[in-house]
Amino acid sequence: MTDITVVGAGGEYMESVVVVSWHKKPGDSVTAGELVVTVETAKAATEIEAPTSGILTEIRAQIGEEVAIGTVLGTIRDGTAESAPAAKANTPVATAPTAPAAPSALPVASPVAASGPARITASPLARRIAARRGIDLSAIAPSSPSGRIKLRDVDAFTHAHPAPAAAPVRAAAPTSTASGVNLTRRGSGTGTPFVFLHGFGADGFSWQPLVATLGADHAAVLVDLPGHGRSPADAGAGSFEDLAAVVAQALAEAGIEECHLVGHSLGGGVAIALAETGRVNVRSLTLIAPAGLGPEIDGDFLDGFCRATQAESLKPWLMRLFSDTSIVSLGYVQATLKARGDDLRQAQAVLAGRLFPNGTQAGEMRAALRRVAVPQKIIWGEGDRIIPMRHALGAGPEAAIHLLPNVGHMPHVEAPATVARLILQNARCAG
Amino acid sequence: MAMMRYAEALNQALREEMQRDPSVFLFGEDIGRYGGVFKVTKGLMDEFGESRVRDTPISEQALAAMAVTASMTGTRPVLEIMYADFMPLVLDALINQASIYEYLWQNVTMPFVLRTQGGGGAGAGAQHSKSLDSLVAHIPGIKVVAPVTPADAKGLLKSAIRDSQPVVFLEHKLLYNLRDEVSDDPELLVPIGKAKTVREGTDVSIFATSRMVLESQKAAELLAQDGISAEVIDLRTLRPLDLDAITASIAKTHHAVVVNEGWRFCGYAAELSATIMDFAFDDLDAPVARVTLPDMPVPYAEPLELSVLPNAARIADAARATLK
Repeated sequence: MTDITVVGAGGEYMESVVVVSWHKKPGDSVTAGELVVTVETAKAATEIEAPTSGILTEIRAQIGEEVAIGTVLGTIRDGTAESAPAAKANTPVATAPTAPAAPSALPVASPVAASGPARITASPLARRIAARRGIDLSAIAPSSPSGRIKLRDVDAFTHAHPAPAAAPVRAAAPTSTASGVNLTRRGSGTGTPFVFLHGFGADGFSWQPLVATLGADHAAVLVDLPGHGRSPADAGAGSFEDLAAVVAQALAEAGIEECHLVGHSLGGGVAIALAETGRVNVRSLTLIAPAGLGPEIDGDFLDGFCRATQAESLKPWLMRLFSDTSIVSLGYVQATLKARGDDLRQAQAVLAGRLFPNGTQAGEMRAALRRVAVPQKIIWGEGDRIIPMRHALGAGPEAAIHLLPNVGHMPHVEAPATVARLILQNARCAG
Repeated sequence: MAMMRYAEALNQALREEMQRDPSVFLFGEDIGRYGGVFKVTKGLMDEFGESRVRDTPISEQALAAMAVTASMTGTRPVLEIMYADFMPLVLDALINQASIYEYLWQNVTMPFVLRTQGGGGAGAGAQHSKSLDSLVAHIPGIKVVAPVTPADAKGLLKSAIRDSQPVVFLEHKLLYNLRDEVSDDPELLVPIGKAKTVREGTDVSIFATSRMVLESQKAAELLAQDGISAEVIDLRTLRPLDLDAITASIAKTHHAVVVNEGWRFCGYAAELSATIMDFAFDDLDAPVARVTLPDMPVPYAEPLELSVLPNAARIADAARATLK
């Protein structure tokens, strides 16, 4: 008996997944490596392959069910569908060939009980504090190379998930500001926070792989830009500067006076505008495939992305974002669709029409960028098909340009470790 | 207060206690005319005479039995065993006599002190460099102390001499020349069973014994350069252990490194580690790290000897590892 659990992409940085679809039903033969179930994380998704060959005996997590990482989704037992009845003949219960395999197999399969969710490794202190705070350790990712959950991981989780009735300090940390812009805090660090501004059509969750790489000892603030994620759908903004003003207001309300600023694509243009206003003290500026440094942008992508309401119509456009298009699984597409309700889709179409009319970037931020006198890094994927890499040359002489081979428009998703290192380097330059 | 060497502080403690209590007497190999190999008993034979400062033949087993019986009959003997490496020769007296008689006969007390010195780092070779702390700390009914500073050496030796139970007093050959301020108050005692926090910290607790306290203090300096705040606790008494000091520090730092110059397997550090898990398990955020001598003889050649002795760098490495 082998368990099917969530491993690989998503499992490292998410706490739970939602089962999107089962590609096999109980009693089916499966081959090791064959797709059996697709699960969805916040924005990415994972196709779970059979860990071994055999028969799918049981589906434990139903479609639509949200389960913690590490939960057993189903089980595979040795054998093939053809030989299954012969094997069953050994037990008196299953002499009838029509007996449904899964229910009758469950009570006699004692190993199931022994092979529950993987044992969680946590320090005694982490266990004690988590229990006191009512936190399920299975929701926490360890940051130690030992793989053991330590107190700092519990603290980071507590910080990221402030309970309504938690200590006053935690309750004071807002997740949504008076201006309505949604901020998500990550990490337990007390130093200057890293503020992340996502790209067009994404949301704060798109930084998860990067933030997980950055480590829990750095404070991170994930902004949902207006018209995105959990922020109000009515963007009302028509320029990078408009968006920057809203973000500045939200950061001020959250008590964030200085930060290391990171922006991707649309968020890059907003980041430049925000840094130039001086309304928040930006210590370092890291721009990932930023908008605002040249006129070209893939208008077909913007049009297609904003129009798509089905997985079939969205998938080709999402594939354009990446150099390695295998990232765009069906589950990923479905998760993207689900995260973007129709109201957000329409708000984003309006925003795209204002910022990028006719496949052209209306906002021009090169001069503004040159006026921002803080350490600057531009990171671009050499395989970017949305905004041309050569726009990086529009940055001033003080900007460091990092070009990543085999990476598309999403360096923070495609090469999170490299991007995290560069962001930290840039922050260190700020002293 | 006066500046003096560790050996001089011990000498002063012996002198003061012999002046205070006529039942205190010293015996051991070369402690009289020669003044002791490390000059701890220098001048005492001249001052107190040959009956209270006795040179003996080389027979550790007989000497230990003499300490037991002399203490049973109303005196307070202080026996010097030249090297801790010879402690196996006195173990029968400790294990089968000193630690048992009070249990067998109730009214018996054995107020003797067995002084000895151990440890490596002096190029003394495999038969003269060992730290056999765990051999004696293993025995119920025997107190074991191991002072690091001259002041603690004096204060603890005086406490040991006045104690009604057998006390093994562990010195370290590399500490004898350590100079520091020592009180001249003859009634200033350092209590047995009390550890001392020699450096306060918040990130990791380093529990050390004897000379390893000095290495741990250096390690704390190294760690401070990395922004790590290490607390260093000088246990001072190996048995009975100051549990309160240990658990209080771990409740603060949640990380523990135990350092002892003896062997690792079944060593004193192993006992510390197990004790911490017995009493502070739920406060631990990482497994206890042990820094010890490897399970091998102490080499004679200096580069080899230095390569096996626990030192500041290894202690700092262990502390960093627990914090990862």
